[in-house]
Amino acid sequence: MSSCASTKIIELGGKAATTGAEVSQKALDIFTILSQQADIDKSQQDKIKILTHPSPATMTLPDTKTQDFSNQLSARVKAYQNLLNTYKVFTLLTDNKYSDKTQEAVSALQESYNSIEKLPNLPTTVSEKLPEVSKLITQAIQAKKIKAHNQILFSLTQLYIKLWDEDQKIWNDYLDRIYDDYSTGLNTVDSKRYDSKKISELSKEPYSDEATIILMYRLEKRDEITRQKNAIKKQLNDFGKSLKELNKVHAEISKSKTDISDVTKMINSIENLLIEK
Amino acid sequence: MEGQLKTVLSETIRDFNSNRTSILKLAFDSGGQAAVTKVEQGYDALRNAYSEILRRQLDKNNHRYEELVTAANSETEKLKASINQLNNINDITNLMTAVVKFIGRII
Repeated sequence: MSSCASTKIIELGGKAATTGAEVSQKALDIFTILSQQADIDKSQQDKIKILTHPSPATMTLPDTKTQDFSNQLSARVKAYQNLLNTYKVFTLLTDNKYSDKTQEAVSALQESYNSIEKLPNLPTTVSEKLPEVSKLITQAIQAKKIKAHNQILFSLTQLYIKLWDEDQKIWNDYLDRIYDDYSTGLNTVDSKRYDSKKISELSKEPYSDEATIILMYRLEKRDEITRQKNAIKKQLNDFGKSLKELNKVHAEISKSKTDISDVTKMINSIENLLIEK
Repeated sequence: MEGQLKTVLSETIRDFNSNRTSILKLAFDSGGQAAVTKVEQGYDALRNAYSEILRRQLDKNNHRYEELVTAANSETEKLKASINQLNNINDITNLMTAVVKFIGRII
């Protein structure tokens, strides 16, 4: 491996490590969002029970049982925390300090040797080049190790992808249940429960007919709930895509001839996927 | 079987919600608060059953997540070993420097 290639692999390895940590952190953020859904669901179901009750004046305060997914979430959180930890350690392997320290250490060794008067000094050409050559050797060893670890991380992320793909469908069903049940139930709330004057005060829409005002309000609420649901689903979907891109990054870096521009493009695409839009 | 049950539960819950106010009014008119409570308990039971299926589906992968934890930890250990090897190169050079300095003092 040429010195330039080694430097580039170390640099790309560093970017892959940082990106891997960001992807793992995104997973943990997603699990936090999913863990909040149980309380959101409970609150929405309680609301809908009041709003659709035929006699709210006589009803007792609803207390819907919370749908607890904490055991399922904790197994997943643990797996991604460990992946995050792996990437943090991988970042240490891509540090430039090793070759710099080699250069410093070899220079110090030369100085010590040359300071011994009874020993002949090293030839100038050797003195000049030895620290730099030693640095290049360390860089080459480091780059080789980075490639080998990318091969392992490729296999590891592939396992994470497989499980995520299976889980994502279930989480989508979970979100559909929470938000669709609320939206559909809310849509059946008797029009008499709404105060069209209050809706008009809050709205900028130019309608005066009471039925239209209420219908427009219903539409607005329905769309708001759908947007909320879709925003979470999009985060789940984008995370899955970023994990797949990360897997490709590891595959490319582990190759004997790495396409640097390909890796850079993939890392940029992951960055874009991780930004909430 | 589980998939079919999930679909049936989902459709029943959706149908109930689509007609929620009128179903509850019908229950109230025929049996008062007790009837409304019974209908809502039935609805909650359907949702609980649906969530239970989701939990079971997720649980099927739980042991595989445990395997992932082991795999990730194993890679972390390998990475630490690689880092130690890189540190060793410099440690050996530093040790050589110390030895040379020592030789310099005794010759």
